[in-house]
Amino acid sequence: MLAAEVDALHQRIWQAVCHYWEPNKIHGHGPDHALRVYSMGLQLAAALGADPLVVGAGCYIHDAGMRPDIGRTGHIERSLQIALTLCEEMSELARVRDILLTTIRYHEAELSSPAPLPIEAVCVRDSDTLDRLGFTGIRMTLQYGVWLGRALCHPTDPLCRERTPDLNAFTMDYVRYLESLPQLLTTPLARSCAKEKQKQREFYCSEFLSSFRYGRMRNHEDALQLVTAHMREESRVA
Amino acid sequence: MNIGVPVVPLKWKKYLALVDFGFQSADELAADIRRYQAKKVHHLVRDIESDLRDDSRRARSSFYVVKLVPADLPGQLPNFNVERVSQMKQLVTFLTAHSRENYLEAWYCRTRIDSEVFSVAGRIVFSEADSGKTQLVEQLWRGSPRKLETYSGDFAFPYVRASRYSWGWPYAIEHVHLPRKSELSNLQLQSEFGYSMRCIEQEKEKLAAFCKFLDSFSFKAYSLEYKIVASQLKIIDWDTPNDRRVLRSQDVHLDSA
Repeated sequence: MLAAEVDALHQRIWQAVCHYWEPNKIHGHGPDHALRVYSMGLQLAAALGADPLVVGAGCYIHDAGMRPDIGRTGHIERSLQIALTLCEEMSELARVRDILLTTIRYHEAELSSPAPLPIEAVCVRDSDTLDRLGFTGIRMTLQYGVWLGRALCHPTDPLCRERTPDLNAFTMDYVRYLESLPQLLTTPLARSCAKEKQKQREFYCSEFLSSFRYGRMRNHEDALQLVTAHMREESRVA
Repeated sequence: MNIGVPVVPLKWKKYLALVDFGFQSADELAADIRRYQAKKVHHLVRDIESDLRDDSRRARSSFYVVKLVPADLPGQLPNFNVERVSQMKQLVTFLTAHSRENYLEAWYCRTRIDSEVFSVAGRIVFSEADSGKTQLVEQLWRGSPRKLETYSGDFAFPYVRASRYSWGWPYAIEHVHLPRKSELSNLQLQSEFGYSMRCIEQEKEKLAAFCKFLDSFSFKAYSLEYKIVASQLKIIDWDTPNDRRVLRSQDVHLDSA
């Protein structure tokens, strides 16, 4: 397929799935996550020689099964169902059905796969993982914490430096957990991008701690303001 | 350890919360959801076959949703839909495929969908975004609300998505879908959607009380599922980001169920 045809197909897929993403802004997994993962996914596909049609489609569908009321619960199964429906509607997708489903089934870095993943699935997975790192990942984690009604941080060990992370109890414990994700990245390009993202996380955590000590980190809103300010600054510099 | 005390599945406790808030009586719930122990699923198969024969005698059609229910999952349970006798073999295959898994019970419920009766199902998502509170409704005609999860351009059911600010406010219809073979016109669809929303509005007091209860957990979003068959509205399920937390506050059912 010509690049322009791939691009047109991606646009059709996005038109078909964007309504699934829109309400998930409420927990940080809205269209902006899809678009960032798509953009990075295509960069990885170009670097590795993966099929951009599959990678782009996988990126646009991977978290489409999330819901505003129950979030991640069961989302992979629902995303697979959405992908199956689209394969029935779009003959170009039907031809790559199995590999597309694999990209969705194994898009989460923590999930082990039964066999080495096809390169297209690696691209989607690494791209999603990268978006969970750095400022973008911290903001998604904080928004998910607000949605879930989770406490922001432990009262005496806010950055979880002396405890095992309690992911259900404290959002900042989840931010600490994000530190473990770069080791799950597969591709050299993603690993190299992760270094910058790790610096962002370290920078955020030091700023967070300083604000916390001065009593200025009272809730998720304060924590979100901090990360949003850094994101704005970063985009201005860029 | 309470040996011999039957375990009440978490999913059943969710339904009991609906009884608590007056959406239906415990007897109605027991009649709507037929429960079978996992080791007696052959009774479930026999009863659905009997119901299908009954449908056929009365020239009606219904769909049956079969769910496999473990002790500790509040939602997203494996399920299988049956509409025709020819699907019974697939149902048995589905039950057999899951027979080694840790399910306590199998349930089924029945919904009429023939053209002689008004039959819709939907989900209302209550959310609190930066722009304020909203109610987002998705509704389909003559099908299971679970199908809403795969809505796309070739969707086989008539479908409407609409939203509004809060109780008493008008709905803005955002999207209407009519399948090629639909007998409904666009106008009929919108009119029937309006009727459905009036049915829901009539239950506003109970719904608002339940929402107030869920709001007390500070979730940013939660949902209610409903069906309206003939003119009878039934709230059939609810979902939140953390159902277990909600149910812990309702622990009275641990003893009373």
